[in-house]
Amino acid sequence: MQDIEQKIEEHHIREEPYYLPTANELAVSLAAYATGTPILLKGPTGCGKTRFMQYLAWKLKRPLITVSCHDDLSTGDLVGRYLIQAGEAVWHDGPLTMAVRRGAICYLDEIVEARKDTTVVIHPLADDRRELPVEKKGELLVAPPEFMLAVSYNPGYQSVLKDLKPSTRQRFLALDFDYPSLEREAEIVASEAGVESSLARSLVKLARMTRGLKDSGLVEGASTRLLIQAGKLVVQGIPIHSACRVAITQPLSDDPELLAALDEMVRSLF
Amino acid sequence: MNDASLKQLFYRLVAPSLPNEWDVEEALEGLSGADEQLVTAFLEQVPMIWPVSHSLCFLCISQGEKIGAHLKPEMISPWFKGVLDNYERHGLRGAQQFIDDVPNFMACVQGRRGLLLEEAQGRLQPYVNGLAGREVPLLPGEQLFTDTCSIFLPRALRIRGSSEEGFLIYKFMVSFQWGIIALGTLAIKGHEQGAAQSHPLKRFFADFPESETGRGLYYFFETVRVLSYLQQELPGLIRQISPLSRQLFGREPAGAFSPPELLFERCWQGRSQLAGPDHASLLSLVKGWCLRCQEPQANRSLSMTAAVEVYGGLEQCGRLPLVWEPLLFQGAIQLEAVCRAALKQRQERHELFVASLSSHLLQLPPRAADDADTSGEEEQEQEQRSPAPGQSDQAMIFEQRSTGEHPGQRLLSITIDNQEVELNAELSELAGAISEDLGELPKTYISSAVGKAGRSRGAPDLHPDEEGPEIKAPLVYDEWDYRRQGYRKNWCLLREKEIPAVTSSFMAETLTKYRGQILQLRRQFELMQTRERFVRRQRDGDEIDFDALVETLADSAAGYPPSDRLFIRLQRDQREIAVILLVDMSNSTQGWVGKSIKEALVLLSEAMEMLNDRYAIYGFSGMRRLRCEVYPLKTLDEAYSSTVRKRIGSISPREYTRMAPAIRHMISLLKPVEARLRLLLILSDGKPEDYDDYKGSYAIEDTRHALFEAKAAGIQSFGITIDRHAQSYMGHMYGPANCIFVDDINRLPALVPEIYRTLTS
Ligand SMILES: Nc1ncnc2c1ncn2[C@@H]1O[C@H](COP(=O)(O)OP(=O)(O)O)[C@@H](O)[C@H]1O
Ligand SMILES: [Mg+2]
Repeated sequence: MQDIEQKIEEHHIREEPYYLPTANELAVSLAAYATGTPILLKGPTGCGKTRFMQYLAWKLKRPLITVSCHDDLSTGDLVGRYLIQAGEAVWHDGPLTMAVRRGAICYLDEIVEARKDTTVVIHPLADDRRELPVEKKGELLVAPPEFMLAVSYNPGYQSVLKDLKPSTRQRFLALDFDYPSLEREAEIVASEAGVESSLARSLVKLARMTRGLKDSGLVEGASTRLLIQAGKLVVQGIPIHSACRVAITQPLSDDPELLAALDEMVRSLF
Repeated sequence: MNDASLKQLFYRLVAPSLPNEWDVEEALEGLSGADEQLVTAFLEQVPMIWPVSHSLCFLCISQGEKIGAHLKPEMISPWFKGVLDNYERHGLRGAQQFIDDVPNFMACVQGRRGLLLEEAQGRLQPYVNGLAGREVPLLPGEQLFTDTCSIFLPRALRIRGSSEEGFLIYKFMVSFQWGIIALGTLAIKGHEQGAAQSHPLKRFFADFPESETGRGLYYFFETVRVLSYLQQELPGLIRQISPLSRQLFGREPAGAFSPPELLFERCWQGRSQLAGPDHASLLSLVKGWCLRCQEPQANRSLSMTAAVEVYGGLEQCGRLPLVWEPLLFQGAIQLEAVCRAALKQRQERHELFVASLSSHLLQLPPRAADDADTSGEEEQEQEQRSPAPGQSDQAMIFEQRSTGEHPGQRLLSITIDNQEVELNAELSELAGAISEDLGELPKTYISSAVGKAGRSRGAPDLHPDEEGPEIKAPLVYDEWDYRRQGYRKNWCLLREKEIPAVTSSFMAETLTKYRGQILQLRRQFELMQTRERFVRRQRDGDEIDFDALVETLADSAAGYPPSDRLFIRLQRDQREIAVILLVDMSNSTQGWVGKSIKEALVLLSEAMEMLNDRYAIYGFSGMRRLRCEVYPLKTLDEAYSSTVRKRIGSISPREYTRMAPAIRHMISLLKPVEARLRLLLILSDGKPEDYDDYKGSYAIEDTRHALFEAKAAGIQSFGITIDRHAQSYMGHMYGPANCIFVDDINRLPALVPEIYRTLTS
């Protein structure tokens, strides 16, 4: 038990994370927390979903337990398993169980990456039962009011394989995380990368140009995260043109014509 | 090459047409003195130009030697593009002029002098789309201008300078015209319907007694405003063009490079007409307005005021009329074109709205639309006739709901016959654009859609099939129209048709002919299957799963029944690949081409038997958009049976190559398949082309777009072609790394399995 106590301590966020709200996501999430409703964060990669969860956890003073989902994730990885210690079978809680037990916030990042048979364990937690059956222990945990479930997913991946089942998604309150306005995004980039606001604005302008190129063959435009990376490179003394190239345009596409066009944007802007 | 073999080759290139022998001979005479390389380069263009116009083809060939004297071999293909372009826009006469102009054509591309639009467009099109946040087509035109929907650019830049400089000038032209669009210089204000009939600026210019001067002044101040906006938004661009000051502004900067300053100097300083005692005060009047136009809050009303004020000043000093030649990047103001574009856009939105709403209504559960007007008469395909006023108008009211967050009102649902119909995102965006343009969403738009939906419900089958029993109901696919950068909604009707499985000797012959190769392929393919992966927690296997064992020990120590899934097994069937082979069955695959394609299918199928990859084979052909056909030769779940073999044997050339609807159909088949890799392999003998206007850039762009759609759906596509003229457009269509051109048809059967092997391992 001491072990868990210690582990959970590590998940408390003590310092206020930098987070710039983009719409009413905070108010909605606080209301969801108060009513025991799980939340679903939708949005493209790198638009601040993870950061928002950190901020929310800090605000609510609850530990945040994040699980990045992948297709090898088993139910045992989430709920827990027995292990042998000194010749005895000792139960180890998985992150989800730990979060339920301790009233933490459990954030399943990129939930669609997990296999469907894994995601079913969250169903009874996500509706008004708010319970988690721990089969191997024969235990039925009822989540305390402090527990919160949050999942994220990126609707940009167009694969049908990677879509949430309606029965899953309807249990959640959905928060739409689109890219913030130019001003706000520039503020985020300036603050996170430590660059001047004029440079940050130009970086955001570049990103916005890339986000409208779906019909020209660019499936996903530059995320805020890429902009921050480029900004950080500039702070390290890399010239802006090459910073944009290595951090933004090259990661986006391999198509020579498209890359040339992106490069023209970079050269026009900076 | 002698005359006879030349003639023979020509006939082969234009097959199945059989032009008059003397026409052919006469035309080919134009090449009789030309060297081998030139002849080849010319003949390569024949398959492209022949279907567009036979006379045009003859015309070009008959002047081959003369043209060849002016063109470098690598310029022949762009030159032919220019010919086609002129033909499409101005008919045979235009093409003739272009042909006569060949010395000039070379002058502008030769060495370090200028650039062709085609050379810059690939880079500039996505660039301007990015700037604008929407598609702004770049189109070739007589001169530079924008109608606010597209930007028209000269086909070639005749400047002295490197091609990189030429590119920069194109880039600056495009950026400047984008500025004109972004700042609303030519925007049609006013919401009242019909405003687009006449541009408000037209009235404004007409109010000046010297209207050319008024126009020039307005454009001058707007140019100042746009240049200072570009300076603000695209500082890098301004830095890039600073060495081109002379070409762009006709002068070198005295101090730092400042485009508005240079423009002012260029337009106002050193003009003899302005000399006189009041010269200084006139200039300072202009200068004052110039500065105001550079302030961030400046808008086009300010430029209008500036124009009026400066006009007054000029009038007082008796300096009228005063006119300016537009600078290279400014181009001309074309108000009529702006109005036309606006009207066209309005009409397109109307059509799109009616079409999308009606198909939206049809997708609703029946009741919603059944009560709607079903009495409408048969409708023509293209015109949407609105029902007579009052016919269904009273039946509906529409309401507007806007979300609290967004200031712009958005239509989210409409009420038809007391039934609330939710709009999807696309429709509500469209409705938003329409009401912004017209002030409201006209009720006739909705009633037309309701009427159309009602009629389609009871619509009879327009195309009873002629051959082969049908397998499924026709499917409807959109088509991409690159000229307006939008879909033609529900444009193509596609059917799956059964191919009769006929017994023939083909199969047996092929199996014998390639016996050795097939054996070898099977061995190679068998090796591919051994993509190894360890699966854990199995009942039996080669190794013990240690994690599972520990867990079981722990479980049993805790009093739980131990699990027996304690082994790790090496799994070999984890390729998880699903592939569809889409095969061109158009007329042009007649003869040995078709035979090689069939042999390739056999070889691949034989080899595929060694793999667990799921694969399907579909053929496609058809004629016109309402009769696109797809022939399942082997579906994904079907075994490679004798029926399948017979079907492959019975493949025969059919009609045309409208490839995109077939691709879209394949996307819909592959999309729901669960697999690690979903692949669409397209085997064709050349250009997408149909009987109607579906050819040239239009067909290529539609196909390219369909391939984008595949990519967006997570499907990889790869093209194999046997058309030796294909290099120019294949890379553009598929992306350079996603296609291959097979020059020796005899190699095709062996190559297709080889390509498959490389692609999937
Ligand atoms: N609203 C925001 N406030 C503060 N930082 C943000 C915001 N949005 C994005 N970021 C920055 O972008 C980076 C990527 O965001 P992240 O939350 O990791 O994205 P994801 O949506 O993929 O989880 C963060 O590390 C943070 O620096
Ligand atoms: Mg063909």
